[in-house]
Parts: sequence; structure tokens; C-alpha cells
Amino acid sequence: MNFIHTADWQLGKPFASVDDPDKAAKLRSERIEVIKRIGKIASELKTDFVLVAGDLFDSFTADKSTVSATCGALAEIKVPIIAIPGNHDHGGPGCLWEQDFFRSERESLASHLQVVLSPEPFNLDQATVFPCPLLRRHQSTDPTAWIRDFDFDSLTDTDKPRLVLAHGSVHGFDSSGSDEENETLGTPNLIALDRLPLNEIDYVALGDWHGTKEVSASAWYAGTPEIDRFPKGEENNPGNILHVSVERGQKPRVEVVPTTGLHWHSLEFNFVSDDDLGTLGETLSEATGDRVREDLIHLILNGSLGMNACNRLDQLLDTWESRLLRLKRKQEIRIAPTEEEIESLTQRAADPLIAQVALRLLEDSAKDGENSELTHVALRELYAALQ
Amino acid sequence: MRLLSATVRRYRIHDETTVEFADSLNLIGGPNESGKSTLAEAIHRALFLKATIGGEVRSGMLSDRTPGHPEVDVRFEAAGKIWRIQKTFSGGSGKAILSEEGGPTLHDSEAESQLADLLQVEEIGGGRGVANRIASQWAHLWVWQGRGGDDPAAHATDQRDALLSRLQEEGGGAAMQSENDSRVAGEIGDRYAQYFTAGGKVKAGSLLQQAKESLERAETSFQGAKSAFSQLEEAHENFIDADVQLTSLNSSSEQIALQLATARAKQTKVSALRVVESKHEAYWKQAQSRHAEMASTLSRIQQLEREIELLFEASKTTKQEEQSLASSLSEARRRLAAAEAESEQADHALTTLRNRRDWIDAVLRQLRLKEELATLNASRKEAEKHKNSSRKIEAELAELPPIDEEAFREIQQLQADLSEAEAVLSAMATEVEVIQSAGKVKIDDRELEAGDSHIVDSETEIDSGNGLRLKITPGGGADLSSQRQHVSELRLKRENLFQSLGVKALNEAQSIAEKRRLLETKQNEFANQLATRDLGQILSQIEALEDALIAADAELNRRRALQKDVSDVTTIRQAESLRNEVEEELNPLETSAEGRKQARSDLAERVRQVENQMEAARGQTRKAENNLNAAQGEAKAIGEPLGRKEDRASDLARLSEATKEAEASYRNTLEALRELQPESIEADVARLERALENTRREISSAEGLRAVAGNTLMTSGSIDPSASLETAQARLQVSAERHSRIQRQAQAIALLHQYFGEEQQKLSDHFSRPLADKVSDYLKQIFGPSAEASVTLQDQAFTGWGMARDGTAFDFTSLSGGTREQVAAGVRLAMAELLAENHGGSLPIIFDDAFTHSDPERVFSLQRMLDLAARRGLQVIVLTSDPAAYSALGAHRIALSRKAN
Repeated sequence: MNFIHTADWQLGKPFASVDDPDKAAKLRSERIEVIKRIGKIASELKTDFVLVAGDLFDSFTADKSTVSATCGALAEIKVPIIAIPGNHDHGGPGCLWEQDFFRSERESLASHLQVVLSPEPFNLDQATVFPCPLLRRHQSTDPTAWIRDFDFDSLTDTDKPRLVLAHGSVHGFDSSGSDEENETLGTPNLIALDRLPLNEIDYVALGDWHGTKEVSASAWYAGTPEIDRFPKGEENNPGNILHVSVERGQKPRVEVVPTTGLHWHSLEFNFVSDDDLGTLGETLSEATGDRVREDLIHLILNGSLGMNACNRLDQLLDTWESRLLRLKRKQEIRIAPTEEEIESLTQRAADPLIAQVALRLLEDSAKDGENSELTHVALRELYAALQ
Repeated sequence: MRLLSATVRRYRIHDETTVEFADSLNLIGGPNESGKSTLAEAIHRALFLKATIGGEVRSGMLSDRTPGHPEVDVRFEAAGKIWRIQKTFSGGSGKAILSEEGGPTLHDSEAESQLADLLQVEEIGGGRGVANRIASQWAHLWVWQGRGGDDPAAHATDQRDALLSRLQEEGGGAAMQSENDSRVAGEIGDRYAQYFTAGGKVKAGSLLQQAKESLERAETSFQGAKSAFSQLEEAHENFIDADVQLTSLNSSSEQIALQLATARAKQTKVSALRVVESKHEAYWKQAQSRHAEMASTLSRIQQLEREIELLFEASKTTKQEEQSLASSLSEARRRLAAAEAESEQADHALTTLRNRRDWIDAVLRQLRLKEELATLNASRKEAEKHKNSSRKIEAELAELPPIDEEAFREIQQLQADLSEAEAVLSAMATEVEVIQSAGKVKIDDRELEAGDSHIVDSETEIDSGNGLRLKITPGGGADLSSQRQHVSELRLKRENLFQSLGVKALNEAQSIAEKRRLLETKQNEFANQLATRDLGQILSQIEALEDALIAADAELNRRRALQKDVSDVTTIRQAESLRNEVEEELNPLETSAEGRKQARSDLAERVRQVENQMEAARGQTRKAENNLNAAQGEAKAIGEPLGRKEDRASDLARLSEATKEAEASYRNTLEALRELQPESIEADVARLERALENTRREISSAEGLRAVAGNTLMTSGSIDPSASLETAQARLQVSAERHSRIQRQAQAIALLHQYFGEEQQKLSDHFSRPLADKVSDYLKQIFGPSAEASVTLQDQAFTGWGMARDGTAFDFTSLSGGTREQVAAGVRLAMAELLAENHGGSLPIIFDDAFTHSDPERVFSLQRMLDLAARRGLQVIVLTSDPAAYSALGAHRIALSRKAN
């Protein structure tokens, strides 16, 4: 028996920080595309079903167009899909799962999708699923708690593998720490894995943590299949699905299958001299290869550059900005005018006024106070006015 | 450049005037109309006006005295050489000749051109307004008459470039703002103006303002999206909370309803039992009362039977008593009647005796009255006899004069007084007799002859006639006439007394008085006898006795009628004896009558007592009989319904049994009720109903909350509030970054603009400072060491001319006319001094009556200023109509005289 374990599709995520509407649309559509890729893999691997461990949608009020697009894409997955609501698309009154529109679209486009809204065993032909749906964004109780008290002897199909489907944090892997909209104090939706009757369970399919993560031999975070944020730290490994083979009472076999379509990078670059500009260009090229509009880069720039170099850097980054889906800049470059630049500003017998003003700005910038950035901008403006 | 000499020919007032100039100080003096100003104008025109000038300018130069063309010939030193310019202003054919000493000579246009070069001015052609344009040449050096107080700013501006160039040199080659500087500063200024207003505020419509507004809009929409999403989340939470609450409430409600139903069932059962209870209680009470009633009736019957028996006995006893009392009563009545009969006889005898005694008393009284009356009549006769004797004496006394003892003593006294007075009178009269006289003796006024005598009875003066005068006072001083008067009065008094008493002489009066005394003594004796038995009194006693006697007669008659035996009693003694006899017979009878009366009264009392006892005994008998009847009636009445007497005991026993049964039933019901605790059932029902009502209200409230939350949650699905929030947040961030970038740029531009402004000001100060210092040098000569000139270079123009003294700044235009002339002169001198460097170290400066508003003291110190200018290389030429005022200047003096017409 084998299946695909995936989670955190976050469909309908707006990517609003991407200014260019075309690029944002591309980012959104790529999340639909990955469903199709998953469908293709599921077919290739002849899996029995697909488990989605929460956060299929980015919000519990996903709009109609997202719902339709999603249901349409789900048609590409030819096996049953069992999903639970996560913290983003939690269940409960008024949530999309209960909206007529979702129901009718599911009915007509993706009837093989089962969204389980109640914590009770869900029987599939090949396995028994123990779903732990979230019915509110932040649940203070362990969503898997009900399984602890469950009477496993009551199960009729004793040889079917038992799969827990849950969404939340486990000790050491709490997704909120990496979330951009980190707003939680304490850890909600905390799953105590060690309190589960693990000998009665064959696999725990977890969602919420966007990187693929093996918590234990039989408990995995699938991570998001399509990366949706810049990576933080090396351990993070998003952009995959898990292909799981499992039998009742045996250790599961888990295979990580990459699925992401877009490439997210975090790069840090330190300028030592103006010549490093060339190196930066090379680094960026290296990261993206020949791809255009398939990469997103979070670029952290440090060090110092001359004014000319700064202008060149701006030009370089402008180019990259159009070439990339997103260039997020965190620029902490100190403008350090070169000797020549200083000379060209101050050694001006013919233009005493400019020279004097430049001299004062340079003096100010040397003070390195609060306004040093301002004086740098002013210097650059003056420098530009002279070109 | 220095002027060396000048010759003017046929130029207005001047036929030909030549003036030689000293290098430094020149004073050209001359009265009005001596051609000072004309001379200055002529020299100026020689230097700056083209010789070919025509029109009004030329005609204005023509002399009205000497025909011919005006000519001016000026020698001067310039560019290290000596030059001579000769101009003949003959209109279009005018000639200009410039000759260099020891050098070539240039003519006309060449000369003019060279001359302009030497003077470093632009050539000025002819045409309209040429006079004014010419006048502006070297106007800073040429102080035309009446223009001494002009603002020096215009001159400074005219000479700006040359001045700046010089000042740059003066400032140690201070750099001058270049075109590039100006361009960049201008660009920065323009960009600043795009962002900010002149007041430094962010300009409306500027990029910065747009960014700010866009940031504010983004913030607003972010807050809106956030609030919308929060509402949704809140609604979701509220819905779940309400739902959970509802589940719990519904379960509570069901439980309460169940408890309520149980309680109500109990309540119904209690009600039913209560009905049974009251019924059983009624039965029991009924049985109890019936039993009690019968028992009580039976007991009453027994009691009545006992009472009847007793009453019957009692009635018998009272009847016997009644009979015994009846016999006692008849006995008592009989004894009373006997006593009354006996008493009647005795009383009759007593009455007869009493009447006899009363008759005797009446007889006795009559007899005694008769005796008393006889005595009184005898006394009356005696009294009447005395009274007649007394009346006779009284008539005798009345016939005698009323001379009593006192009147007789009065007569005696009067007689004695008269005898004494007559004796005194005769003793008093003194007889004077003239025995022998030598002279005529006069007594008073009467002349006495010898032997004459005179009775002197009053105070009399006697003149002897021979000088002897005597005064005689007879009677020791008493008056003889008054004594005579006294005697006659006494005599009259005695006569009057005799007359009033009816006597004639004293002895007659004496015998009458004696007779009267005898009569009065007799009268008194009778009066004393009459006083013991008053006649009136006796008469009234007789009258009273007669009345009493009449009454006693009537009494006697009445008494006598009651007497059977009337013996003849005529004396008192007979009557008294008879009375004693009757009295003795009466006394024992009186005593026995009292005893009988008492015995009769006792018997009557006894009869009354027995009668009362009798009455009481009869009442008791009646009462006993009544009671007996009543008891028998009652016994019959209450006994009848009980039926036969012999069944009564078993009937009572049956009733007692029934009562016991009813009580048992009642007690059983009570116990069943107690088991149900009816007292708390009511409270339970009330409590549970209240709880149910509360729970229902809470359910309704929770349902309301859930419905409200549900409504909020029912979105159209056309937008995703979560995505909207994320979008709004991202846009806010973009806006914030953009705003911050633009703001930073705007601030950088503002900083540049500020620095450019400040540096420009510094440069400007750098230039204006040496000029201000130079002006100050000159002004200190006049105004003292505290004087400081001020001037600034702004936008390539010298402005802000002014002077400060003792720390107080004055703008040029605010200065007085005289001071303005002096300050303007200082500025001109300073400029000339600066510019002189371009002209070989010297320049002429002409003051044509330039200090007309300055007072003489100022003119005096002004000379120090002019001297300083000269010392610094300037050629100072002062034209004045008052050369004496400048005598201290130590100048080369040139005198012009008034031109004769």
C-alpha cells in the first residue's frame, strides 16, 4: 500500500509583496500547477490515494476563483484525496468547507476529494485514517488527543495500516517561528507525538511545517510542494512531496519527491571593493542559470561601495529585478566614495561652491551619526548632478 | 588714471578756462555762475561723449557769448602714460584727437575707441537719451551737483563685475562662484522647490506629498482589511463559543425539564392525597362527634334523672316549711290584735285625765291674770297725782325773770369792774394851779393867769414863760380819756344787762335768783318720784294683760266644753289644789301607756317577719317545681331520638368502633403525604421552573450571538478577507518603503539646498567683507571708530548698504540727508579705491557741491575722509562755492571767478 503525503498547498496565497501583478499571478498560478504535477507523480507511482495534511488553502475564506481553480486542478489527481483543514483553512462555521460554492464545485469538479471535518476514523479501502482536523485557527488542545483514548480493538479491519493525519507543531518544529506573519505567543495546535499510542499507528502524516522533515521514522512533515517563501537556514527543505509505502505493523518507507516549480533563494553578499559588483552579477547568474521569471531572490547586501559603483549596482539590480519573479533587497551598503570620487567633488578650484558643499557632506558622513545615510544620499545626488 | 589739466573753450559760460590738477587733492572754488559744474561736465564729455554728437546735447554746450564750436582739451595719465584728448564738438564734423605723449596721435573714431579702452568703458553711441547714458559713465566717480545723497547701490551694481574681480583679488584670490556652481545650485534649488514650499513645508502635489498620501491611504486600507479580517475571526470564535455554550445549555435544559416533570408528578399526587386526607379527616371527625354526641346525651340523661330526684325531695321539704310558717303567722296576728284592744282602753282614760288637767291650767291662768291687772290699776292712779303737782311749780318758774345763779354772778362782777374803773378815773386827773407867775404861763396854748388851774388829764406841755417848760403825763402815762371811755362802756354794759333780765337793780335781781332756787329744788323732788313708775309703761302693761285675759277666757271656755264634771273654782288656791289631785292621778297612767306602745310595735314586727319567710318559702317551692318540670322535659326530649333505652349501650359501642376506624384511615393518608414531602415540592417546582426559564433565556441569547456571528461568516466568497489583508499589508509596506525612499531623497535635496545656500552666503560674505571694511575706513574718519559699514553680496548684487554706529545698524535710506551724502561719499571712495587698481592705482573722483546738506562740522571732518582717499592714491577733486569750508583740506586750490556777461 502506498500513498502520497503532502500538505500546506496554501492555495490562494496572494503574494501581494510582489509589486508586478503579472509576477504575482505567476506565483499564484504555480501553486495550481504543482497540483497537476502531484497528480502526474501519483499516477506514475500508482499510489492508492493522496493525503493532504492541512492548509490546502491559504485562508479559510478563500475566494471563488481560487476554489474553482483548485477543484479544477484536483481533477488531475486521479486517486482519492483525503484532506483535513489546517490552521490557515480551518473548519468551523462560515469556513469555506461549509460554503455552498465550495460544495458544489467539489461536487462537479473534484468529487474524489474528501475533506474530513470530524475527528473520527475514516475508512479507506487500503487504510484507516485518523484525521485531526482543525476547526479554529488556534486550538489550545492537542488536535490528536482524541486518538489517545480511542479503542483500537473496535476496529474491524485489523490488518489495514493506520494513518494519523494532523496539522500542527511538534516539539522542536513549530512552524510559527518561520512564518512571516508570526503572531502567536505560546504554541497553539501543539501535537504531543509521544503521547500517541504509536504501536497502534503506522504513520503520522503531518502538515504545517513548510520544509520536508522527518520527525521520527514514522512521523513526517511533508512540507509544501511548491515553495512559498524564502528559505531560512540550511535545514529547511521545502518543495517536495512524500511517497510513503506502509503496511500494518511495519516501518513505513518514505521517499522524498521534489515538486517545486519555482526557485527561491536567499543570498548574502558583502562588498569589499567596487570590483565585487562583477562577482555579484556572477553569483546571481549562477543561482538562476538560464531561467527567466522562475526565481525569487532575497538579496542581503552588506559592505561599502563608491558612488559610481552604487549607481552601477542600482542598474544591475534593476536588470535582475525585471528578470526575476521577485528581488527582495535588504541593502545595508555604506556608500564610501572612492578617492577619485572625492577628488572630483572637492578638487574644484573653478567651482568653489560645489567643492565646499561636497566637503561639508563628506565631513558629515565621516561623523557616522544618524544622518550618515542622508548625507550619503545627498552626496550621491550631488555627484549625479555633476555627471 | 589721473587728470592733469583741462582747457575748455566756447563751452557755454566758459570762453576759455584752463585748470591744472594736482595728483591728489584739488579744491576748485568759485561762486555760483563761475562755471564749476560746467567745467566738470565739459571734462566728463571730453572723456566719454563722442565729438560727433549733435542735437540738443551739442546745442546745450554752445556758448552764447562767443561764436564757434565748443572745445575741450584734457590731459591725463593712464596706463602709465600721459595722454591728451582734444574734442571739438562741431556736430557731424566733430573732431577727436587722442595723442600720447611721445607717442602716436589718433583721430576721431580711433581716438574715441582708444580713449574708451583707456578709461575701461564701453563706447556709447549717439541717439535719443544720450545725455543720460553718458552721465552714467563713471557715475560712481562723478558726483554731479545735487546727486551727493544718491543710493550708492546702483553704482556698485553697475561696477559689479569690476568690483567682484577686484574683491576677489583683495580676498587673497577668493574663489568666485562659477557658472557650474550656479547651475548645480540652481538645479538643487529647483528640485528643492519641487518638494518644498518657500517656508520649508512639504509642497502639495509634490512627489513626497503624494507618497505620504499614498502611505496614508495604504495604512487606512490596511486597517480596514485588518479590522474586516479580525471581525471574521472574531465572528468565527464567537460562533464556536456560542455553539459550545448552546450544547451545554441544551443539555442542562433537558435535565432541568426532566426534574421538573418528576416534581410536577409528585405535585399531582400530593394534590390527590390532600383530597383523600381531608375526606378521611371529615369522616373521622364526623364519627368522633357522633360518638361524643351520644355519649354526652346519655350522660346528660343520667344527670337529669339524678336532678329530678333531688328536686322532687326539695319541693316536698319546702312545702312542709310553708305550712309551719302559716301557723306561726296566724298566732302572731292574734297576739297583735289582743294587744291593740287593751291599749285602746288605757289610752282613753289617759286622754280624759289630760283634758281635766288642761282645764284646770286654763282656770289657773285666768285667775292669775285678773289679780295682776288689779295691781297695775292702783299704780296708775298714784302716778297721775304726782304729775299734776309738778305742772304747778313749772308755771311759777315761768313767771320769774330768768336770773339764775350764773346770771346773778355776772351782774355782781360787772358792778365790781365799774366801781374799780370809776376809782381809777377820779384818781388820775391832775390839777395844775398857777400860784405865782413872773411870766405868762401857758398850758398847751392856753394862757393861765396866776391862780388859774387846769386839770390835766392828758400829756400836757407847760411853758412857765420864763424859760421853764414842763411836760406832765397824768396816770403814769395812761390816757385819761381812754379811762373815761372804759368807765362809760362798763356802765352801758350794766344797763344793757339789767334791761335784758327785766330788773332794775342789783338787790332785786338777788331776791329773784333766791326764789327761783327754791322752786327748782321742789321740782326736782317730784321728778325723782315720777322716774320709778312711768305712767306710759304702766298703761301699756295693763293693755297687754287685758289681751292675755281675753285669750285665757277663750281657752277656758274651750276646755270646759270637754269636761263632764265642772266644779266651781274661783280662787287660785282652789285651782292649784285641784291640779295637784289630777296630776297625781295622771302620772301612773302616762307611764303604763309607754310600755303598751312598745309591746304592740314588737308584735307587728314579728308578723312582718313571718310573712316574709312565708313568701320566700313559697318562691322556693315554685322554683323547685319549675326545675323539676324542666329537667323532666329535657330528659324526655333528648332521650326520645335515642330510641329504645335498652339498645343505647350497644349503639354507643358501635359508634366508638367506627370512630377508631376513621381515624386509622386518616392517619394512613397523612403518613403517605408526609412521605412525599409536600412542603419542598412547591419550592422544587418553582426553582426548576425558574432554572428552566433562565436556561431558555441563555439559550436564546446564545442563539442570537451565534446567528449574528453566522451572518458575519456568510461571505459572498468573491473576495478572500485573509488575502485582502495580506495584500493590504504588502501594499502598506511598499508604500512605506517608497515614502521613506522619497522622503530620504527629499531630505537629501533639502540638505544640499541648505548647504548650497549657506556656502553661497559665505562666498558672498567673502567678497563683500573687504568692500565693507574699506567703506568703514572712510566712515570712521567722520563718525568715529565705532562706525561700521555694511553691505552684502546676494545673487550677484551688492545690497544691504548701511552703517552701524555704537552697535546700532541703520539702513542707508533711513539716514538723514547730510549723513546720506557722507556715507555715499564713503562708499564711492571705497569703490574708487578698489577700482583704482585697474587704472594704475589711481582714479579721479569729482564731488561737485556734493555736501550741500552737511553741516559745517561734518564738512570739517569730511576733509579727513577725503584726505584718506588721497593718501590711498585717489585724485580727489572738490568743486565748491564755499572754498573756505575746505580750507583745512590742504588741497591744491583752483579759483574760478564769476564770468561777466
